[in-house]
Amino acid sequence: MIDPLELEELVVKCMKCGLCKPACPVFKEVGVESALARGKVRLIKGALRKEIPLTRALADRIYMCLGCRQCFTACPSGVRTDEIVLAARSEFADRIGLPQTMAALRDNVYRSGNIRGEEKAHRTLWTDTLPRETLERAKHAAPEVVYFAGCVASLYPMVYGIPQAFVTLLNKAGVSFQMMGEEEECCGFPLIAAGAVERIKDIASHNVMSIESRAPKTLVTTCPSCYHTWKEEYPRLIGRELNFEVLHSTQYLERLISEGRLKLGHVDMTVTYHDPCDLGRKSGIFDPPRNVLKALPGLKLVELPSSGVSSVCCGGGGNLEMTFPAVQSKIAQRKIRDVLSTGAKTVVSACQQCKRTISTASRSMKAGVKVLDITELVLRSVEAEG
Amino acid sequence: MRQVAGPLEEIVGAENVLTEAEDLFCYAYDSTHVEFMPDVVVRPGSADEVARIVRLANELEVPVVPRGSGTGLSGGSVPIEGGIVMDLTRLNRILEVNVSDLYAVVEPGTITLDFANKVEAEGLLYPPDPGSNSASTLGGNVAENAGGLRGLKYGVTKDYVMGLEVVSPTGELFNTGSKTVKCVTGFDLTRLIVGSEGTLGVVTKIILKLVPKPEFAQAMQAIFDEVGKAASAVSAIIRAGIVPATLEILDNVTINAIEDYKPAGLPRDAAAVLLIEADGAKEAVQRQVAQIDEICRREGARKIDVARDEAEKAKVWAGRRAALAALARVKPTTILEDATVPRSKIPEMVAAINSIAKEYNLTVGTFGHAGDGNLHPTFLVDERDKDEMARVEKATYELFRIGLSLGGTLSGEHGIGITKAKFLHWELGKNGVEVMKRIKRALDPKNILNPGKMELGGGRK
Ligand SMILES: Cc1cc2nc3c(=O)[nH]c(=O)nc-3n(C[C@H](O)[C@H](O)[C@H](O)COP(=O)(O)OP(=O)(O)OC[C@H]3O[C@@H](n4cnc5c(N)ncnc54)[C@H](O)[C@@H]3O)c2cc1C
Ligand code: SF4
Ligand code: SF4
Repeated sequence: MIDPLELEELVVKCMKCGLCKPACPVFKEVGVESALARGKVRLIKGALRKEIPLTRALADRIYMCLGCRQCFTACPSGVRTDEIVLAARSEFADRIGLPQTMAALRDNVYRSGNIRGEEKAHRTLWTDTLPRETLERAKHAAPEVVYFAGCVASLYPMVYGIPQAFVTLLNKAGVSFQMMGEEEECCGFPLIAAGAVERIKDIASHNVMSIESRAPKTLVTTCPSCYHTWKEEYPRLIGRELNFEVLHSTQYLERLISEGRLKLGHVDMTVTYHDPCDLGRKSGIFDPPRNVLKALPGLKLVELPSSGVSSVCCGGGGNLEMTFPAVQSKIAQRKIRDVLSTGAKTVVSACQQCKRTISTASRSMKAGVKVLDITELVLRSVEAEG
Repeated sequence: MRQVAGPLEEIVGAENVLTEAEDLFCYAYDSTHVEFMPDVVVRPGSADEVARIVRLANELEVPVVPRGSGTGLSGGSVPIEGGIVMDLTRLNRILEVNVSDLYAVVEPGTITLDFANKVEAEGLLYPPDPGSNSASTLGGNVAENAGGLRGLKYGVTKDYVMGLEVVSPTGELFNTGSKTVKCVTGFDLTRLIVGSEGTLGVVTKIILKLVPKPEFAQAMQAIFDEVGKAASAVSAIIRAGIVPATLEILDNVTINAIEDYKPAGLPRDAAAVLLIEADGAKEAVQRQVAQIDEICRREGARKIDVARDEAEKAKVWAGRRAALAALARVKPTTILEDATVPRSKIPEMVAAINSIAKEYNLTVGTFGHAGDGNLHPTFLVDERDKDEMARVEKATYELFRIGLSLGGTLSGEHGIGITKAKFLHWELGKNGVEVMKRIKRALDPKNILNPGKMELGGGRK
């Protein structure tokens, strides 16, 4: 997150060279210049300098961005369009308000602590089918780990499998852990993406205090966006380091496997791996998921045509799903075609949002591509061992 | 402009006509600093649609400005008189790659690098490789006669255009050239359209020549303590009858910018570095590299490194590729020129660039295609500093004057467009400009196509 005051300094760096053109997944689908990083930056600069009136239509255009940071990897000037877009969303929201969908999202989080506006009690519904013993262990007093499930995994039944698999693995590995249950609240990432940041510091402090009161060694998230927010944004927002370690599940699973705490069995399958933007390009976590996959006996990993730092967003970033659903679904469909080009029928990711968007696209295309979260795949391997 | 948008929608469909301010604002620019708002943007999907749009524009007397990716560096696709911007990027099919007859047929919106990659997969080479090739269109390359790093040995875009399909400024479709190696049928209209910057026709199909991929390539870098010595080495290499595929130069400011940004192991105190690549049959290349090595030593190179493998070769080019990015990070705004002189005049030109920069109190980094005398002096400024922008304008003025006095040209590859239009008569003379104007008037009586560019007559009546 950057200060709106810095915006002018950042937008002026764009030399309009257009080299972001082959990189931007949104532009690839939409084809018109205002969807390109160059166009968005120019519109933001234009609105800030009053070269063009700041209208609702203009502000809405700025939501046509996944925040995937791919343009940055192609940009000779080092323009951070993803960050510029976020700062502009918040600046423009101050001046003319949020788009309706984003205002509704904000109200949900403020009212209920989650993005769907559901009752707080619903946050634990995903645990209902877990065995009692699993949940018993989750009440450990001085836990090694606190697991932060996040809104999407807790509230969308389609991806309940991810937190379920993760806590089952914690059990199998004999890790003492806690969950926050109904007390868990949105990490704030969707609000940052929406441009609704006026209460973001309070949210950060609330969440940090709530975890610190449980005194874990480590906070683990299965959600790359939660991870990114805890790891990168919170220390800045609360003005100090956190007194626990923050890891993504891929890092934590890599650790458990290397310490021999998980017994892995054969999973004879060929998979490809999709790097989630918030985990890969934005947090630099490329090797841990691959190391985990390489440790699974029998598993064959084939890489996507664009992977690692040039991995293409699944379409799930930047709240695009809510603001421009048609564009989002085209981007996800392209991902399916990329997966199919590898010959693998299963794509593994490490993000509940990727799982949702890619599965939905596969279903709508009748492509037969299966999407597994890495936690689910590791659980399969552990269960195969017996 | 509703009276234009309506009929345009009938031609291309409503989804391919943009009229909202936010869209128009984003078609007001290319990669220069010149910006003018269009009244409407249209995105045709076929040559026939292009022709109908141009006929409509003639009827309504509204300007039409063809646009590829808007990476131009002379304002070519900026609609300085408003009107219709015609975005040609939907015409992006590679229609044929003919391996036996060594040609390809493409639509103009095809991205240069996509095409080069496709051709390379067939074991062939499409040599023109402008630094913007990941984004630029082949139509834009044809219209600007774009060059690139391989210009010295392989030439520029015009050397690869065998034929075209064009919509004339009055809206009739015609063909030029052919798919044959030789063709002298009629005027060489291909050459007339290539480099015409969208003022004489809209290119809707391009026949491109391909060449076999060289079997072997080797890269090297030579470091010099004086720019003059580096330039003498360039002349000596060419005099010895050696034509490397690439022969690039980086000056001291550029070297330091690169080392600050992405260290490539270049010595910060060096006055200039030459980056050289030879390609062809393996034995010939190895012989050439040995000769170049000897020449550079004789001409006073402080150090010469020949890349021993692909990794070292990549390292040689990493620095060159980072040049613009590195300079771009020094200051917010970069003004990139393409002053070109006979290569023996490079030392004078580099000296002149540096003294001009000093005189106008500007920072300039120079890199470029030393082998063909095409330098890229890049002024590093801040667009918000009005005084600095005024000084840079005067400096480029001076730069053009000196370039011409050294027997050079206003533009080696970026074109005239708007940014260099007012200097055109310096080079072509009054009569030369008048001949161009007569051609323009003959083909485009109402001055519909890209008006106000290249001194061809500003503005509609
Ligand atoms: C970072 C960077 C590096 C560059 N490096 C080089 C380089 O090494 N060498 C070089 O030569 N140039 C270079 N350029 C300049 C630029 O990329 C080229 O001029 C390129 O050919 C422009 O292509 P475009 O598709 O972006 O065309 P645009 O900028 O959209 O248009 C350029 C001109 O072509 C006309 N035009 C476009 N399409 C058509 C068509 N189908 N029919 C008729 N007219 C048409 C337009 O009216 C305009 O006059 C560079 C630019 C940048 C930003
Ligand atoms: S962050 Fe992603 S979607 Fe947004 S402009 Fe950059 S590449 Fe495009
Ligand atoms: S690549 Fe960077 S500098 Fe170039 S247009 Fe895109 S954002 Fe601007």
